[in-house]
Amino acid sequence: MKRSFLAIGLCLAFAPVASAQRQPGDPIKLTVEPAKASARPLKYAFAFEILALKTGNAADDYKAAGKLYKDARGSEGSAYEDQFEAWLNGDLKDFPTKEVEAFFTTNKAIMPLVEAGGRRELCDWGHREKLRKQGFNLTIPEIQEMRYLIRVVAVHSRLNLAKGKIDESLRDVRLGLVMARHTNESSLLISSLVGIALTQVMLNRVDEIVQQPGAPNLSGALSDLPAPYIPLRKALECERMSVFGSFPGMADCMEDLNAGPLTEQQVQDCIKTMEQAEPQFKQPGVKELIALNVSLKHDKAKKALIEAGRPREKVEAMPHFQVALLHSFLTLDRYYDDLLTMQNLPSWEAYGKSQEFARKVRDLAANGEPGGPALPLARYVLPAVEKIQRAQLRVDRRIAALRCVEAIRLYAAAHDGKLPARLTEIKEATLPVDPLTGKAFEYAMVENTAVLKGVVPPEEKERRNEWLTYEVTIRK
Amino acid sequence: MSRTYPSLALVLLLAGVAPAQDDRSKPVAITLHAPQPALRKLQYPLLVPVAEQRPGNAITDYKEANKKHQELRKDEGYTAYEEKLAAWQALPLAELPRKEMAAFFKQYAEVFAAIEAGAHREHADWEHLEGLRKKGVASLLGEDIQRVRGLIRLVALRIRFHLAEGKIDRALKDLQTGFTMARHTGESPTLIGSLVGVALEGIMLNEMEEVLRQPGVPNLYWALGDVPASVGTFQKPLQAERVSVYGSFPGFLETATDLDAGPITAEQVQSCVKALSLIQDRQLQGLRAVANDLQMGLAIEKKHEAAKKTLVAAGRPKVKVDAMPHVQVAILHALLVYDQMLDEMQAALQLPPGQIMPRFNELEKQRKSDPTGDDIPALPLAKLALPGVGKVYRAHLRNDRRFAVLRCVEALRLYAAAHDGKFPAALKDVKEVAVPIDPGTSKDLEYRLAGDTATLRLPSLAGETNAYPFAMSYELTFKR
Repeated sequence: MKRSFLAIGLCLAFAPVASAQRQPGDPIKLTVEPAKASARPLKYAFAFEILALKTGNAADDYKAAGKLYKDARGSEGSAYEDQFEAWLNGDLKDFPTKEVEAFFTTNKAIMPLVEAGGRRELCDWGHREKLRKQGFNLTIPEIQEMRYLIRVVAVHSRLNLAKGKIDESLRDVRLGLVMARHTNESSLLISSLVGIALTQVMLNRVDEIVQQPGAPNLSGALSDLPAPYIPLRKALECERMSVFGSFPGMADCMEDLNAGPLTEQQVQDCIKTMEQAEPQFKQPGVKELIALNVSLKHDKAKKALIEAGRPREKVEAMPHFQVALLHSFLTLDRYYDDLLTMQNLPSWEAYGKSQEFARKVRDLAANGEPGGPALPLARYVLPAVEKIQRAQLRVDRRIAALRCVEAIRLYAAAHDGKLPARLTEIKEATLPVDPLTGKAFEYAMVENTAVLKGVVPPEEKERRNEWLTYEVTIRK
Repeated sequence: MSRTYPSLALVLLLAGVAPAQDDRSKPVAITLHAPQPALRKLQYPLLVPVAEQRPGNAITDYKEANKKHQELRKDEGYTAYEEKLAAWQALPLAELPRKEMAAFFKQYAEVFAAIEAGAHREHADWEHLEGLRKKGVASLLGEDIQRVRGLIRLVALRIRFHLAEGKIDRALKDLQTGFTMARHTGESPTLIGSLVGVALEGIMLNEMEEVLRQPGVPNLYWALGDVPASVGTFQKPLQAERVSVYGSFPGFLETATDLDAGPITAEQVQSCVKALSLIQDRQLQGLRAVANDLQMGLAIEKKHEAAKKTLVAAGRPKVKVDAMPHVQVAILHALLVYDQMLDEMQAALQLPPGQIMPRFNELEKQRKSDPTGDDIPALPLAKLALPGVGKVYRAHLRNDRRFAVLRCVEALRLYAAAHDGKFPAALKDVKEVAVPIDPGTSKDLEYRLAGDTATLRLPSLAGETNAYPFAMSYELTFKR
């Protein structure tokens, strides 16, 4: 569907952001100092604790900040964005502190608003209710604006770092990571993908911060992040809801087994939605073919609805198209249940299941569903979950790898600055598994460098974006 | 801790409310039947799905339900009401006075309507945080939350009524309402709220056992696996403990979090002293004597220089610390240690499941110890104000283990239905679905087959007595 396709595009667009110096798949090279754990394990926690929260809705603050950003950008457009890109990617020692400070002085209201949002008890974008009513037609520009705001926060973090203010820089990272989770509260898959992208932007900052002299150990903070960092469960439920919401009258009809017939107007609007969902339906002759199919499968569809608990007289009174749609939704519901239940599995199993699911959907698209409903909605509206789960894993994997990096720094602090020969030698912290495999990360000492690597599955050999390697050396 | 111990007692009390089988020291016997085919895996979710949620705050509806409930109870007479409900809870399903119950539910229809509306809301906000911030431990917590117990009792009764009527779908719908209300209750950022939520969920789990005994019940394996772990909801109330302690000392929410903060006012000092006494009166039996005479003052005086040094080392400007009254310095010093200990408790939740309880046990010992030394704060706030977190965690874990074992029951039901009513010789023989592990041990559940009876056992965990509610077992038979 429109939003799903867009989501995949976004997913790819937001694949790990390589810095100007680094190409996708290149190892992330970190030169670090040994660092002991803080006396308080959560001194640098990457979430605002409840103590710091205030009542109110974060989404309102972000929207207000987004408006200020747009006003500041004015008509500059991509030049303005390029400026941020340059501030984010240049070498830290060349960071244009004065220029960036001037930006924050001129636009002094943006950061406090974003910060206020990060510290709210609730983040409600109001998208769920709109989804019920508007379905696929819901537009969410405010989520797009989060992509701009995160760069403001990331630049602020770099500014603090350039000024030697590591604690303040980490506070900005915390804000950015909270924004990422708040974005996911929108409960749309596309928002989850934006949340994933925002998290990556902040993890880039963590890579940079841990390399600074005197950088505190972030093991406790990173271990405290929930996994998955961007859960998909709610978004998948909403995705299902948005499908129903896209067909006028059908969301209510799905909820109520006693629902009666749609009006003629609603039927016409539902047909329009079908055409919107898949342009193929507009092609000459296709509509007629579908009408024939609906008619041929009508009795079977009615039977299925009655078996699902709908009173016979209600089903009999429904227009054929409504019966066909409800029948199609029954099938769709089974697919969505598969997607939802796989979210309860460990990440590596869930990813395996999502690959199986993707194969099933591809097969459905190629061969159709023998004996399936007359309206083959499933093949058009199901999200590309394999890609989305992989994007989700990309973030979780990076967090896990960074936890290992910080564990290595803990080890080095306790062992005279030496790197461990094997990961199992590290007793200073609990080491995470690679969320993609459920097994330990690969680790090797190459001369004076610790090489931490995520296994590259055979199907990803050519996808450098998915590769993850950290090379850690201890600063002399 | 006064807020924790009564809550734990409450949990145990509520967990013991088992209409189907009162004596849980014996194995819970369940005769299973072949599952009714379902259209989809999550046809009967145990929490209200997003698609059925509506904007609004669930707690407003529960409060409304409670108000109506109280009015109706009053009209009926409290004693008569209690006796009637207790009798209905104790009766076997077949002996329930269904006509009388139907009339009762009709009379209480508005209460049920408000409960259901609440369960279908998008969020649940008890609005307790503001109270905690302003009054800390002195805020009257739990009052409204405790009343949800009366509501869940009604829901539990109606589940039994529907089961007696053979209306499985309606019983499952009520079960969903009850589980959702339990989770909403646990949304309170307080350990009491969290424990009440656990207790309510325990009541629904009891009803779930009754549901599984009925013929014509669809398989709930997927539904049971779709409920997020209860232990995952524990972090929020744990964090909020800090709010309640900081909030207890006027001015400290600001000064404790702002390293540049200056001295508190004389009035605030007086209020802080009162708050200390309150905490001691409530919780610190052993230190009451200290609080009531000059010893506390002397201890503060004696450790003042060391405390100042610690605060400066923690990043506070020396001039600001020097300007602070002794009591403020002592409380800030004590809060540093308190924060450290609370962080350790939160960090324990990051450990693999099998290591969490042992870590909590270690921290509990540490909390109760009486260390000495100049760097030890004069006010032992960590010892006095930190809750017995291990016990609360254990209560959450207990529910997660019950979910796992009931899910395993459903896996066995699927197996038996596909194998001529026979249970497997070992859990690994079940190939229909993945058999859940015990979340308390991260190992397989204990399983034994003797003749036609399968036994699933949840053993007690380290440090627990080997009896209900820490240990439980289920004896399963299958009706062909």
